[in-house]
Amino acid sequence: MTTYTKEAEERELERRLAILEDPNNQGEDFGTVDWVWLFVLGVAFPAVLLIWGWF
Amino acid sequence: MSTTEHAAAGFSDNVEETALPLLKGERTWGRWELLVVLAVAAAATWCYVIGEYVGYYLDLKMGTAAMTAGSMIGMLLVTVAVVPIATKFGIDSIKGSIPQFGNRGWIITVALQYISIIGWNSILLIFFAKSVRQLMATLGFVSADGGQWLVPVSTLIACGVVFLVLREGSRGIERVSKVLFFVIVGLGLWMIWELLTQAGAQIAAAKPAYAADSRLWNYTTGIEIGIVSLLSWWPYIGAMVRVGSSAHKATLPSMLGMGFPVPVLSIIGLAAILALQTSDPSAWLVQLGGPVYGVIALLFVIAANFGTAVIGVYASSLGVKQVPGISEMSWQKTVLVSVIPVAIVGAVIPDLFFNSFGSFLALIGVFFAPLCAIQITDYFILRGKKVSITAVYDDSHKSAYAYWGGVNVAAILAMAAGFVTYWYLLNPLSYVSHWPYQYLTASLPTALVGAVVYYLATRILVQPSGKGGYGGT
Repeated sequence: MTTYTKEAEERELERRLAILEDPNNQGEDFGTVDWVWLFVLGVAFPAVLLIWGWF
Repeated sequence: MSTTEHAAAGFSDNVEETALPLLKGERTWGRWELLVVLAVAAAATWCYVIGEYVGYYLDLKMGTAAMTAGSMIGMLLVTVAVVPIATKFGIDSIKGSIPQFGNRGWIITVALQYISIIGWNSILLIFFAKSVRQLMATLGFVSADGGQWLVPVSTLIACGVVFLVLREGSRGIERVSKVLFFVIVGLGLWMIWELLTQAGAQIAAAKPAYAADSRLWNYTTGIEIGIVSLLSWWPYIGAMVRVGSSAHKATLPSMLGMGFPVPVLSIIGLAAILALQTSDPSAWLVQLGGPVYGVIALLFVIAANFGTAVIGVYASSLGVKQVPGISEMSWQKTVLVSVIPVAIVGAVIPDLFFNSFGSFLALIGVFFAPLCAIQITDYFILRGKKVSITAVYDDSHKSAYAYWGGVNVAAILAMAAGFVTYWYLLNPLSYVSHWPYQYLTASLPTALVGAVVYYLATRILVQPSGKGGYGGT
């Protein structure tokens, strides 16, 4: 088993935070296509299902 | 045990065992890996119990529609709340809640996560242990009512195996998930086929046992059960999607991998309770096909519950790893912190806990509706998608997310308002409801109230005080 010293982990955290503060190193947000999928799967599909189930 | 100061490269080897944010190069899971892992996390025997509850109120067609629609709506809320920030910085659900709850207030979300995941895992492993006992009785190894000792023993063995798998961190999860995925999907589809072909007529003619007079109320309750069940994914999903490189890559895996399998498998429970009056496959499959089918059912229960339990303990371990006192522990000891309570519950009070599933599910759901709404409102409306990752990891009083003593009053007010709203609309213990529950469900108005209260409190209290890092991040 391996553990890290607190100091080592803090240094590593600082290194990572410095990298991640740059927007180029961050993950992208939802794009237009993602919002369309979210709408289709999370709103339109349930709406159609509910209408089908009721009648 | 050796204590080693690792260079940066050394951390990359084990970074998924820490609460450190993952760098882009470490977030290696593509859509397929995410889909598989999330599907394995979602596909567990709680689906049968969820289906059973819906089957109390609705027939097969209405139940399938309501449950599936509710599940996808619930998954939408969780996805939009957690995925953007988790994939932006490679952090889990807990770290992602710090901008809203504060650099001390996040302990609320840790507590919710810890309690909910321990509860879910206890349900799963007890379900597995009961299936073992049921099968042993079917095969004649123990009497019909005997072998009760098998339940705690099987639970303890399962906890031990979960611990062994998780010693490897998320790499163990990915490996296990790839194997389990095909077992779960294959056996799940086979079980649906068996049910529909052998008991199709009974299912079509079956009437729900506890349906209310109002068709609309029954339908809404089916939707509500679906929503609440999927809101419970909040604690799980961050730990998984953070290993993906962007929200774009995680959108479909989240909605289809984690959202869709639950209602599909729940249909099995729904159909089984309608036709055969039991949702436990190790019981109803024996009715349909004898002991061989019972063995297959047990294999399915093992595969489905084991995968979910592993992922749940991993997510819970990541969460508690951030708590002072536990953060200094090794990864293995942290996993034990998450596994031991499950082992205790499974060994000491399996029946009491298992029989309280309905109350547990409802109470957990009460908290996650406003929680999701708070995160969505904060990230997309109040912060314009800008969060300081440095402030997220700064636990000092100088942090932008220190608020008042580390706690954001706006989040507390919104959670309280959501809690009261839900309780008014639908008492989660008695299922007594009040207008306009039958038109709107309980979760959706609760989320809306939580969002509005959070927005107003932030505008009126937080931002004028210069707290929260709004506009400055």
